[in-house]
Amino acid sequence: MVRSAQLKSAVGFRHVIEDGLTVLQGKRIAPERREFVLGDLNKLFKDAKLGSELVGRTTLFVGSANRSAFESFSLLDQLGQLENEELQESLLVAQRAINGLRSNTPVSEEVLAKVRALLEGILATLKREGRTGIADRPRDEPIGA
Amino acid sequence: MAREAQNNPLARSKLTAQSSIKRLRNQALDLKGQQFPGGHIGPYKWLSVVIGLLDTAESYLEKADAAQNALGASNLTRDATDLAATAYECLSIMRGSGLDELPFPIVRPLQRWFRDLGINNTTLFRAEILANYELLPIDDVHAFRGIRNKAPSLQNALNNIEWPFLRVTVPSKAFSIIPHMAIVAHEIGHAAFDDVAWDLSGFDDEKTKVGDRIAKRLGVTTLDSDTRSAFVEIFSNWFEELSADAFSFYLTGPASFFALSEFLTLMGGSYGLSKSHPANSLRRKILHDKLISGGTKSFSSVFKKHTSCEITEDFNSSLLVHPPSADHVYDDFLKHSANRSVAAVIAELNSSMIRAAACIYDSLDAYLKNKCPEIIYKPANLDADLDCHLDALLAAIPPIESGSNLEDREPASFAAILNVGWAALLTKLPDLRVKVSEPAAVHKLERLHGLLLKAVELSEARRAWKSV
Repeated sequence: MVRSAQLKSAVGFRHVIEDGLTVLQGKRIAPERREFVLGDLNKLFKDAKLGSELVGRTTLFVGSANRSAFESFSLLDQLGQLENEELQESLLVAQRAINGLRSNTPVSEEVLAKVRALLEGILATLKREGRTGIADRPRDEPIGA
Repeated sequence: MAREAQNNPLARSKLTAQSSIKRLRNQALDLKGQQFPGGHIGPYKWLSVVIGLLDTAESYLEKADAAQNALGASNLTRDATDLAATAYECLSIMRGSGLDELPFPIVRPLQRWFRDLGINNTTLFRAEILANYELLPIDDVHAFRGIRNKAPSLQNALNNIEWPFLRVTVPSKAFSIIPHMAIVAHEIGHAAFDDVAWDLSGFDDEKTKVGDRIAKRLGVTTLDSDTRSAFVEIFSNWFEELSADAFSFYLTGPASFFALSEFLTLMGGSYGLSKSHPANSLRRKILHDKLISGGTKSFSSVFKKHTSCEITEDFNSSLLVHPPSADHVYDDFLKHSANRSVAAVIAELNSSMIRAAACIYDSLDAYLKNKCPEIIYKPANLDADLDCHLDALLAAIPPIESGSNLEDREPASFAAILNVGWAALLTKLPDLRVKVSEPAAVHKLERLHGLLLKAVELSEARRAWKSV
């Protein structure tokens, strides 16, 4: 499967995570930017959840409709955010919280704290790993030389 | 600023960022002033992104100057530096896309394949000193879209690209003769892959059998999640590779088989199995089976009619290594990796992929016949092309156009040039009537490459003239 090359620690992605944290902390942010960031995070968590389900299923094939789901899952996986045993639940909670914020529905402080912790984890990894740039697909060395 | 920078670390960082941005801008503008192979617009669009990133970085630095606190200024400077680094990486993405690396005529026919298949993504073609053909999709989602306060030039540049941006890599000149370009059709297959409604129902029984074999090898009754995950990943990878091979077959006919077989041989002595690719010999066999299917109307029969040569499976790849038994493959893989799940999937899946290939060709056949039937290269096309061009090519007349009437002559298709080129290269090279300084066949091969390059150039010119 040819996956898209992504700037996993690119400025754009980091900005979305940083601004997401700003929203979760209840700080001011331009309404247009708020909508964009929450929409982006919603898609990221929704796709990652679907991606994790795909991996868990006995399906053999990741088709076009699920490609970005698989990639979002892989991205969070690379960023070390998917090792806990309650993965599906965490992603669902995060997605619901983000949707709540988008529709200005009250979200409990406990849930917000969980989502903040998730985003802070991603941000810490992005900063720790530095910028890696647009990664070429890793070359997969064949065996049997 | 320079004097201030001597005593202030943040000012020093700003100065460094400003300097980088200026130098990068000069480099990007230099490149924008150059001509790219085929007059292709993709590199210019990509360079506009680079310049947009630099404009945005500059705007960050201006805001840093006006920031009310040191932390804000520091963050903005860091972001400007990161954007400059991103711009630099974007320049590296297009390394090898200039006229020094890629012949001018080659890009237009390759781009036409994209267009004919309805793939409207912005593309960039480049060459690399590596025995590798590759399609790299670059998405804007995480790379660019989320950037705060984008400069208008960046926003425009991003809007002007059809994402994902597709970079096509071919080997640079030494490893890349015109007939090999059939492999680009394989890469285009990767780009079109998502557009096809693949029907895998014919593989259901085989899927169960493979799963059982994997479980038996691992000594378990049910596959755990790691093994299932490896199964999905490897099957998806291999399925897509075989699909891309199928695309190249439909677009270029026998040229796909000749090019892939030769390229896989050139790649080295391994049998090719990996998480991303099935065995080389399996890929070759699947293509060969397609060439010989259809009896007297098959590609193979047509080829024999014009060249007196039977296309055997190892026709131009006698050195290709076959994989050993599944047990041996499993042991081999474990020597490279401790992952038993991956080793078991690879060992057991390879022999089953021939069943998946049947599903692939059925789905792709239906897709292409519905979407763009004229792009399919058929045995009848090969018959006409060899009839019209093979003898002429041996007399050093490039395959530029065909048709008996001067008014109705049609430019030769790229697939025609590739197939006539392969037929001459593999069966008639000694008969090529060109002057060479030394008698060795390799010199004739170079002359043949020159004739085919000329054919691409002049057929494109003919096409352009015809469209006026």
